[in-house]
Amino acid sequence: MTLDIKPTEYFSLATVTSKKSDIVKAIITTDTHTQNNLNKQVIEYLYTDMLLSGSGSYSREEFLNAVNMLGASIDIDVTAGKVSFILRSTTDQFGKLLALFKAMLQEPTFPAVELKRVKNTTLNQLHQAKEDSKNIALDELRNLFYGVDDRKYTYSIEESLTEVPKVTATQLKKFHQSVMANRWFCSIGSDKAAISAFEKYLRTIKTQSLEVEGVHQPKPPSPVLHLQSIPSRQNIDFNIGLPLPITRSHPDYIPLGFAVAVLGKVGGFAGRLMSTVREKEGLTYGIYSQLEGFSSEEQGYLRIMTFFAPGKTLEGLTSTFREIKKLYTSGVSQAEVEAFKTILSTQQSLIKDSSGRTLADLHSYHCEGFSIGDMEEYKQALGDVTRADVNRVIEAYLDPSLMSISGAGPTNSVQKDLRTWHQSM
Amino acid sequence: MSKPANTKKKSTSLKHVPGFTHVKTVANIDEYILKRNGLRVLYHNRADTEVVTTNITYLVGAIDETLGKSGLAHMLEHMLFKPTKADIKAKITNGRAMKFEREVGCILNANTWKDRTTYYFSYPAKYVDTALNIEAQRMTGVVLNQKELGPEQNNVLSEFDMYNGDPYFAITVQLVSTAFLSHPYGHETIGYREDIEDYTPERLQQFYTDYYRPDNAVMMVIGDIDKKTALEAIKKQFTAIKNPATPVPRHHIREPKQEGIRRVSIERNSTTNILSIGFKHAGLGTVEWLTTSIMLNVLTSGPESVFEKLLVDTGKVASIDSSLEPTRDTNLAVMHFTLAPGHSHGELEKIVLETIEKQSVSDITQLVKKVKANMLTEELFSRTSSMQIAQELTEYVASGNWENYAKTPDLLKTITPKMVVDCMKTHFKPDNLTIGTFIGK
Repeated sequence: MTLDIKPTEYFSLATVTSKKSDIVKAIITTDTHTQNNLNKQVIEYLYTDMLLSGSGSYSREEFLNAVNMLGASIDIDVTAGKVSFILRSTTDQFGKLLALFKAMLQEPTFPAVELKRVKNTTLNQLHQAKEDSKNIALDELRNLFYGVDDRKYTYSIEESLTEVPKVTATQLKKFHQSVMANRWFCSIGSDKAAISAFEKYLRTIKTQSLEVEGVHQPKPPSPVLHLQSIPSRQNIDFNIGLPLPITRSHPDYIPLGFAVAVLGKVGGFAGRLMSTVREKEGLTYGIYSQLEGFSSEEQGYLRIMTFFAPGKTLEGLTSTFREIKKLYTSGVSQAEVEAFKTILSTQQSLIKDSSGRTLADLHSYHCEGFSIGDMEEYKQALGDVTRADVNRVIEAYLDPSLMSISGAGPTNSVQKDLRTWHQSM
Repeated sequence: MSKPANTKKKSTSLKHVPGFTHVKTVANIDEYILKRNGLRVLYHNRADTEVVTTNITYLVGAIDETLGKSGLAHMLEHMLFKPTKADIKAKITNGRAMKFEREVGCILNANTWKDRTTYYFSYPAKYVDTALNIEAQRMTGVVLNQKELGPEQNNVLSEFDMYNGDPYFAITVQLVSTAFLSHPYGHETIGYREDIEDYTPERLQQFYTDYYRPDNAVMMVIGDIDKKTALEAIKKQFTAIKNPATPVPRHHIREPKQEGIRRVSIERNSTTNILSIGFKHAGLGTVEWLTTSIMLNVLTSGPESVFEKLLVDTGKVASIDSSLEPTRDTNLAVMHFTLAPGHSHGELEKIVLETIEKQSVSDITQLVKKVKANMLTEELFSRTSSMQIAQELTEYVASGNWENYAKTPDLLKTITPKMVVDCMKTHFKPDNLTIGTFIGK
């Protein structure tokens, strides 16, 4: 596999080229965020289905039929203002899929009858989401860190339920125009012929490249305990963290990511939290930490995610904060630094096992504006981290007394004890 | 004349590896048996990735558990990440498997299913001996005592609560236990909470002794490693391990005949309401299983499916979910319909069953074509990493014939719309149905 990133006037193209491939996967991502508001958030909920609901001479039914007859798929994801299109097909059907994709993007009809249907299905999905304790715990944590105009702020389900009926086709069309106008980050994995067809296609469809500046409203850290009662769940989902005042471009970002991996590397058992809170103490099935929401322009936050049975919540949170405090006061050891350098380096090697993972990894760097050289330099920098750097950033950024806790689940029976415990911290 | 003879000789010699019997080669996957103890090996080369996945599957799962012992196979899986006897001797405090992850960063995990328990590592090729050594130690040297079991038991209970908080899991547990009166597929792999609380080291030890042995395991090596190196490494680590003198215990249980629809319900303080319709189906690796899979996709998968159009698009249902498990024996597939506010379980049940009853070949011909095309594309995508290949192959190994892994794309092509309609007629008869209702109060 050969990797490349090539900027052009209106888009940039990252490629994972194989000598021969039976399949193609292509991803296009664009950032539409300007200023978050309830209406925009709800438009994002409706947009994916509406874009697939009629294009040019195709009705929704005809369009879906045409895509599925190819054994192909077009998936659309909108998260916090970022829109991604994911195309998958066999290599021999890719040309036909691109023709359909072109119709979808250039001639969407947003018909009234489909808008009525999509509003209805969205309202039902929102009702269903009322018990999604994992997502609710996360949304509430982020709402503590960011103002309402920030892309990371999420309006409540109740607010969304009132806004969905108000969305118009004109608003959806305007949102689509911004998708088409803004700069595209396109990545593809396949053989040369499919990649060449994709590039040719992009050159015909992409004739603008607007750079938009989005509102970013981080707040200073303030330790809050937020609990939401969802009695039907068995465990309480917890998200713990704090906003961090740096962007991905800041020199502290890499050692900070390293420190957070030592604390709770996602996946597996290597992090301190997994080896103590789970392995030694048996208090939860999983507990991980990571940096989220960073870009070269926007600051992000630390998130620790776990869950506890109500009866073990106090013990679980005490144990979790003991580990964070230990990291904050004593830092990491030289042995941990060496071990995690190897771990992170192995993780990079394992990406090569899968063309899909290679493409996903490349696309994430590509969307941040990295060149291949930048990406390699960045990965190399992970291996150059020193213990002193890691311990310095831990002391600067990971103060447990500034961390907030957001819990969602059967909280009623433990609420009082948790508030007392939180105050005593 | 001599050229073909030489070619044949070369081909034969490539398959011959000292210490192993070559069983067959299908779709570039070689099957061998380690002569000394019957350990089966599947080898598949994926060049130029520098990555290897090793995956050992023990043919033991929920199917081997009896009443009061549900979830034992899964609990044991957790215990194999604890220090083994060899680890204790070598003073490797957290155990060799954890050490491998914590020092090297390999991907490691395990999972237990109805017919199998699987352990896997994915790592840079140079660590193959380390990974195989860990598996060999775990095959013979597990340490089961209360000190190690206690915290892990709590972790499994935490895992159980995580699943059980999900209304779909909760109703599925009740559904399968209602559908199967006698067959062990009537309990979920994680077991019942009450059984998990009652595990003892002795109970686990017996289970381990019975099932963790070379002649009940399949070792897969998939990735960027040549066959000779892979097989020699396996021989080095496993050849000394002996099988117990007694055969692997198996329970041959025939499920009593069902006569009419079976029903079960759960009431919880919740805003969720679910109608779950379960039906029994044939095991993996059969044309019937694939036909059932296509049928389920036709009915419930994606915006063009019968019930998305009929129920989601019209606002009667918020979402539809379905499951069809890859198991060896007849199992229960389930369709979950999450009701939209204002609709009732009874109303939905009537619509669903009547709709299925009136499906004809002409109604679904186009849909079957599309589902098959999508499944064939998915098969191609699923074979692009050593871990994915190992995962899919594992299910075929556990179902009794891994060769069906290679045959699936061709078998898919043979399934016709009429076969799918016939599948609906036979599977949705009252004596094959179990219906569950999750009622939010």
